[in-house]
Amino acid sequence: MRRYIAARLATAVLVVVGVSIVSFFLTFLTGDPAEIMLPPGATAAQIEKFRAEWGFDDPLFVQYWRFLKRAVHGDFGVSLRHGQQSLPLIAARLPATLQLTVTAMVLAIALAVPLGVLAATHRGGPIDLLAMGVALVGQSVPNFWLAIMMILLFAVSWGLLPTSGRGGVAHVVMPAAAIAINLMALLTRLVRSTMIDMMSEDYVRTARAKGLRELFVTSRHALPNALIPLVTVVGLQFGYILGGAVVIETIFTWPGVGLFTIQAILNRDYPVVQASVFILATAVVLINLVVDLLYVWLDPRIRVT
Amino acid sequence: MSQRAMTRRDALRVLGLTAAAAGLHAGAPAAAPTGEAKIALAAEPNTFDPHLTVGRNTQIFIANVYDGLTARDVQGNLVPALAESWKRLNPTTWQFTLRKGVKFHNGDDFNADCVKFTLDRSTNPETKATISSELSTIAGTEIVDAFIVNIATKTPDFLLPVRLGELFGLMLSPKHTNAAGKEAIAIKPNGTGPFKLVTWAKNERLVLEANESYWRGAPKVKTIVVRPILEDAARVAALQAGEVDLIAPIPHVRIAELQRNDKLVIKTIAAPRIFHVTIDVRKPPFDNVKVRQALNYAVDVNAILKTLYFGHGTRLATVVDKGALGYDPSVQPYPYDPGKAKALLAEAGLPNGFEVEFDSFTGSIADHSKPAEAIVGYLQKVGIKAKANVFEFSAFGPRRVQNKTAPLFIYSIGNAYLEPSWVIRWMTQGGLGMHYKNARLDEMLTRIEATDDPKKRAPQYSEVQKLLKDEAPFIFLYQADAAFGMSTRVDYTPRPDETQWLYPLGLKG
Amino acid sequence: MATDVSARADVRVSASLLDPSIRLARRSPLACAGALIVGLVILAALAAPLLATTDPIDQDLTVALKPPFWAEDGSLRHPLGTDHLGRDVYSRLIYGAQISLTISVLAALLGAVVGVLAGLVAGYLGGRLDTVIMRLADLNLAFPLILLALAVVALLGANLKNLVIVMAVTTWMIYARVVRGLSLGLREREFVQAARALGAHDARIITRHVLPNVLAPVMVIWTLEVARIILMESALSFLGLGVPPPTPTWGRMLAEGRDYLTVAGWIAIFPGLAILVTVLGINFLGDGLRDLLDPRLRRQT
Repeated sequence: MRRYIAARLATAVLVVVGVSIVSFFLTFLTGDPAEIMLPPGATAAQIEKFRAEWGFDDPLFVQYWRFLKRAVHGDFGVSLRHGQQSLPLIAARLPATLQLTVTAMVLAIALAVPLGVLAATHRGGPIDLLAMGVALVGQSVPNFWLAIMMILLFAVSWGLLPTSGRGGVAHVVMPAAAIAINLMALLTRLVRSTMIDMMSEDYVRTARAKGLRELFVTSRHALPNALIPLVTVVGLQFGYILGGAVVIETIFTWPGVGLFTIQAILNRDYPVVQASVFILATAVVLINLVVDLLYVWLDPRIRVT
Repeated sequence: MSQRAMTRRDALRVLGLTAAAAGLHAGAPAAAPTGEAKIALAAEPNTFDPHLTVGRNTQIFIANVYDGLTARDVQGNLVPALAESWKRLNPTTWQFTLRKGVKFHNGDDFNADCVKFTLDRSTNPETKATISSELSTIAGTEIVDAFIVNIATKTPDFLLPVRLGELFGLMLSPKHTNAAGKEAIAIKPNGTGPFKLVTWAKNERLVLEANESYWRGAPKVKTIVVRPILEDAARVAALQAGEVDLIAPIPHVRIAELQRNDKLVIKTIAAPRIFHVTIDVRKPPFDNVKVRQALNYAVDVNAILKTLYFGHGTRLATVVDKGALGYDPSVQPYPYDPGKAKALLAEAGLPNGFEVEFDSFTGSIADHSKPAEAIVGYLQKVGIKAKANVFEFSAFGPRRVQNKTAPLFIYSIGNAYLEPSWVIRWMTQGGLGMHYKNARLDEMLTRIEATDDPKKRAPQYSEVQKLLKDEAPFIFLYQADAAFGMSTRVDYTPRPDETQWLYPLGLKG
Repeated sequence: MATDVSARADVRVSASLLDPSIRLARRSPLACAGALIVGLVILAALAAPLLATTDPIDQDLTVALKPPFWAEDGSLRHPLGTDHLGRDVYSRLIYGAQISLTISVLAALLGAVVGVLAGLVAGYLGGRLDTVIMRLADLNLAFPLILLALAVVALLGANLKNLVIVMAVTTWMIYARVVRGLSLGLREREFVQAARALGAHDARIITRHVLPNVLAPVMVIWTLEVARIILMESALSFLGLGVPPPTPTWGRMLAEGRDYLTVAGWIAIFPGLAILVTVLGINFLGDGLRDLLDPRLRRQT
């Protein structure tokens, strides 16, 4: 068991290093930001001079070596646009993204579980059909389109919710809902199918034969077991949730890592892009690691590699 | 705005103009600032260090915290600011006489030392100033006495007073800047301007507070909260919901709807951003002036203005914008005449048109891809098979720098100097994809630049515009309006040079 | 959203895939509906030149922003209205089906081929190859896919070829993981052991014994991945990095229509609906397939 944990940790570290290498080369191969940073009236000669001043014309491997040396110390360089250290800039925005994504996940689970259980217990009936319909539609809707429709309806037409920005419940509802919709749909179906499987297990069948009241009692046993795959799937979907957050943060101007990173990519603010990819990838890797370990701990029968 | 030697009477008159331009009521002392205004903009500044600004959005905003030696009034005329007067001693030296009694927000005095320090810093390679290209004509600054500086330029530079204005001449205090350091003044600026920056939560909000001892008199509003809202829809929704009092910019498609709203006031101003399509005159068939003229006849620019800008724009006959010095309305733009376009192409030996690539891009501060699409459509209708390449703005930049742009590409340039010569020089620089050169044009411009008096420069631009039109080295397009939306309790008039000058902003009731 | 399949897979594959349509219809009317919808969309895509009324990139600024035919200013000439450049929304929608489907199907196919191969190799051959392939998959999965796609498109430029490649890159890992798990299990099965004992080559065993048994779940995953990729393509277009103009894709139409939402909502609403309906149909179909092929597959969503 300990060997397994050590092995997984080692590979996790390897993956993160791999991610930073890839992100470094990706961002550098897209060209340098000199053109963007100078005022529009700059001539070609001035742009070249600027590039030289900032070291953008050094050979790629020289720049990569510089990057590596500093990254080991947590120094991803000074943001080209904001003039401050990149890593702290991203870290400062992490709470905002976490607030959004965690709310979205909680929302998704809070809706998916009752819906999935209802569908499973009324399997084949109209409630099941409705729940599955909702889930399928939720999985199919482009969430950024949904976000804009929501703003139009709830904020502009009805004035019930604020249009954008970060804040408390009123501000987080729409963006979290937009991110949650796809996940909720997926989870509903997962809960439903897992519950159905659980309910066909022997111990549940005997309980059911004994009478309806027993069913509720055994549901209390079936449901928690159904939640295990739920949690693991949510954890594994974390990468997708972050991806969804990126687009939604832009629409609602939610000051999180996603919005900041998109701006940095479009502005070719390399240090920020590298720091951001590093942090996001690390988060996803960590969560995957935790999920894998949890899985093994919960069910040692599983043959995991 | 006079650049000849000033008499004392002139100086007093200029000061009077300054007072009027500053929006003070004649004779009445400014009341203490009150109230809070909330505004939403499309972007926030990237820094408050005037030498590391990236993008117009930053430059036009931080002028609220700092001052330059000169400024512009609400009509766009150049007026004194931290410099009371200026004159040219010889072709390569300008002398500025500075305003006395001005203090920075932290109490430091403004004087000649500040000017020398700021200009030296901006041109120092160690600073890596992003605006160094705009101040590259400066050779050195000499302190004559505590309130007089002589600035020497490498070549005669008639635009120096404009350069040292609000865009590139924002003044720093040497004592404070040296003590605080570069990273600090990016987020905690110390200027002489009408507002102090008290809070800045990046991507969330900025809070400005009135500088009650501002040398023009305190601003009317005590606090201004600025929120960056990138999404147009969200920004407009915030205004409609009453969450903010003023927003800029408003997308043209929403202007009509917002004008119908009784609780809002919409003001538009012709922004000095000149849209054009650069033609590579070196590559056949574009070396033939008939082909270039055909391109101009082929595009219905008025229809583009009507459908893409909902009429909020001005057709330009050349690359001189309406608010620039010497704009000559008698030079008429090319009319839309696809028949004439085809005829000219036939005359040039291309009756069946030809193939060409057309570059455009997404993601800069103004939309270029939609007008580009429309233009490509028009060209195709007269037989010019234009193939559109769309790049992300950051990918397009290197193409320009390396002169790898297509023979046709759309672009726009903000004429921050409101001086046609600056724009035309930039457009004939022989790099960044722009390769048109004309000796006669050069000679006209040189003559203009040697003329100090703007009143004498203005009429000389007419022949420049006639020449440009006939030569047609570009497809001439338009300048778009910038629209500002505000609630009825806000009193604000936008300036013609895109600067978001918040000093005169007032609240009613 | 990708469907994630756990590493544990105990597949009892249907002995026969004959008469799938009848079994499908009996088992799941929803899947039938799905097949119908998808069929219609594919038809529209294939017959685009016949069904469209105008050239989708033909501009006419004089009829810009006209509403659908049932509105006051609309006409049957442009049944679903026009966009900001006067182009016919209906025709663009039809051609958009062609392009969006082509990109998504190609990307999904490419990803499937690469992923299945990788999974087979990793699962059956094991050892170092297994570790390398799985770590690559982990690496790939660790990137928030939208950011990866954005960065790659910004690097290579936005055109059909690059989009297909970058979206394939976001999908291969799913197949790799699933197929690997399945191959691991199958490797120990008697019929495979027997074949090995008889001296068959690895490649032959893989193609004749392992591959057919993984095809069923792969098909299910593939249909659902097509749906996800359609959504991703529209998201990329929305962010401005999809197929470049003037080619109409649904995602691009959605992005263009967004600016005109309050004055010409039809430009965005119809492609949004088209995406929704198509993806819905594919999801119905995928579910039906899964039900058909193995009820126990439902455990792995």
